Amino acid sequence: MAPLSAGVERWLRCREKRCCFDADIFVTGADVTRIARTISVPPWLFTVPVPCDAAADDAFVLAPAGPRYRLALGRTHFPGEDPHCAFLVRLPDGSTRCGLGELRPRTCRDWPLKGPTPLCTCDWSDIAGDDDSPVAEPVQRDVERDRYAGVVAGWNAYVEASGGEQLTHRDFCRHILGAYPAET
Amino acid sequence: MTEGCFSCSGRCCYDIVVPVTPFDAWRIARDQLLAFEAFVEPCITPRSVEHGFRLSGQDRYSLVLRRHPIEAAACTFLAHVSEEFKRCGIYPVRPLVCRVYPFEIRGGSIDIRTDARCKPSDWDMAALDYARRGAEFARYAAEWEACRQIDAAWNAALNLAENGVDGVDHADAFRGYLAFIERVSEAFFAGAPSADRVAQWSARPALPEATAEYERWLESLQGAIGAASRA
Repeated sequence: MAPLSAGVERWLRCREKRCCFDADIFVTGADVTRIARTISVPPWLFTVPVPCDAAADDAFVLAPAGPRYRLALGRTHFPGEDPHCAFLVRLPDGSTRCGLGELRPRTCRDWPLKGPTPLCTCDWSDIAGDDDSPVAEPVQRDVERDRYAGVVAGWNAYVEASGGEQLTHRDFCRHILGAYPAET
Repeated sequence: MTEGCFSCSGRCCYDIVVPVTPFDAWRIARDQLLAFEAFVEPCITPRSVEHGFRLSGQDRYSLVLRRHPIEAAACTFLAHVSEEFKRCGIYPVRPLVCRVYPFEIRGGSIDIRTDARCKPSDWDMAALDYARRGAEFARYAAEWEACRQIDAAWNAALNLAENGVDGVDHADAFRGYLAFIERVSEAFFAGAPSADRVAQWSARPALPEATAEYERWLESLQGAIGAASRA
């Protein structure tokens, strides 16, 4: 087992993991196919389309000129509890852990050094400058993002040309699976 | 994920006590950076069970996984991906008893348990990787033997400590036992250069009885128990 970086250890030890409760966890095609193929669950069962306003490069449509969505991990909602990431593991002592581990999405790997941090209850001041876990892979991250943007653009072009065919989140997920062939 | 588990909603993760070996617990604690107490608890064992550690009194206990804090029938490590699909949240380090489920050794070979919760059609027994399953059972058998030896060493030490003492606090004794199995595990796995020692060993294709490799494994275990007992 490889030693954990200080940043990953800080995140793993966090009991609250508000980031798994309060934030939409947006995923890429690489994230979705990696998770789906490893745990053998189709992606439409663990992702949801989240409406978005901005013209993000991963925003997809389900109808010509229709509203745009981003793909995020689904949530589990126990009665009386705040909804949380479907993959969050809850322990009797109040601890929480990520059930995806090494499979977790890029956005979780980058947390909180990339993106907003107001939700986070951890003190990262001693980590951000010297932890190499999230920032060691910027090229891979950019390649992954660009590839997914191309897959989404291809989907959006198909939808615009579809003549109003009724399309669903499941159809979009199947498009992703087709765009990322399984490794043989 | 193994083939028969693809379509399952985690039936084996509900309403079943999941016993774990000391090494199971240590692997989970190390991988997830968790205190043992966060995910295991003692469960009284039947008199017929060979292993078992004492706490206060004469009852013997096994380590079992705790239950989910909200859905009490479920394993605490079960992730509720959807209504249809549940998945193990510690799959790479899941306990050995989960790894070998739903199989057992019967008639000298591997067969599906008669009380398995899987649907009969879930497993293609003709396509089963018997060699890999056999290696898992070898590891399973060896680690439960380790559990018996660790528990015996703990019980012997507890007997000595209790000599002339009126009683031992149950919770204190459990914390002591957890500290003991952590010391044994650290000592046992410290000898591996980098990879997980048991993971290397588990590639053996046969059951472990009377093999030279298994004997060496037991010698290492005895050394680790001795070192932990002296600490």
